[in-house]
Amino acid sequence: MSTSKTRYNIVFQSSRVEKDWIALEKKFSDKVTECKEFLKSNPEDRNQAVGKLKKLKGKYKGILQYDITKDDARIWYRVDRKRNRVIVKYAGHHPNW
Amino acid sequence: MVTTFLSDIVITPTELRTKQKHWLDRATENVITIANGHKKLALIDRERVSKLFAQKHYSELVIKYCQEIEKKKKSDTFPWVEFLNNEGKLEFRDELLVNIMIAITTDEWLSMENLIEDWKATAETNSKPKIAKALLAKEDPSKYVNIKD
Repeated sequence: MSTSKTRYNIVFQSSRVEKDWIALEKKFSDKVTECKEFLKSNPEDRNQAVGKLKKLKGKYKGILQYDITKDDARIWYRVDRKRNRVIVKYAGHHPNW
Repeated sequence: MVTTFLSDIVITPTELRTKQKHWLDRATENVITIANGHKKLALIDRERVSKLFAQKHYSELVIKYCQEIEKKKKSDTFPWVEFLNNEGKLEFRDELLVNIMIAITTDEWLSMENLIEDWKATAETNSKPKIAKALLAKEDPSKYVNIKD
């Protein structure tokens, strides 16, 4: 378990992403609150989001995917450790295979 | 004659009956095989069995995938790799091989599950051009919007 007390600020890459985040928040209030707390405290720690966090590979290296729901509500973000900032790059639905 | 495996201790049903607690305690450290004629049953730590199954499961997956890559076949093992380019498919194979070597040594198999899930998510992202484009778009920090708490 992480003992880091660093807190991260969350920013959206654009107002469009903010709008999509708010739409998710309206639909899945509790789960988005849980996600928000995760992003603020341990945005890269799988142990704090078992089964929900994926670290993308290849050309997306550095981008993380957090599954808000088991179905298709997801967000993608990157962590700017230097500025203690999480940049949400996309929020929305992504159908499972 | 009983061939030993995992340095097991072979006992008879009578021995188990007479010193049940002793053998159950020993079974947490060693495999205890109860040989009854041709029938052989083993007492083994559940966690150890689970790791052996994980090792078998992931070894099979990695070997099958390596064969598919070698023969340039469409993957039945990980059908979603069709959404990775050639470089991605090879990178995935290389990471599988490195990770399985580590997992065999450490007996920690969650990293294999995580690795496969990461690559699957990458392939999924590739399959959605709208999302892929948004993730790869150059960021403009002047357009960042702070979250409203």
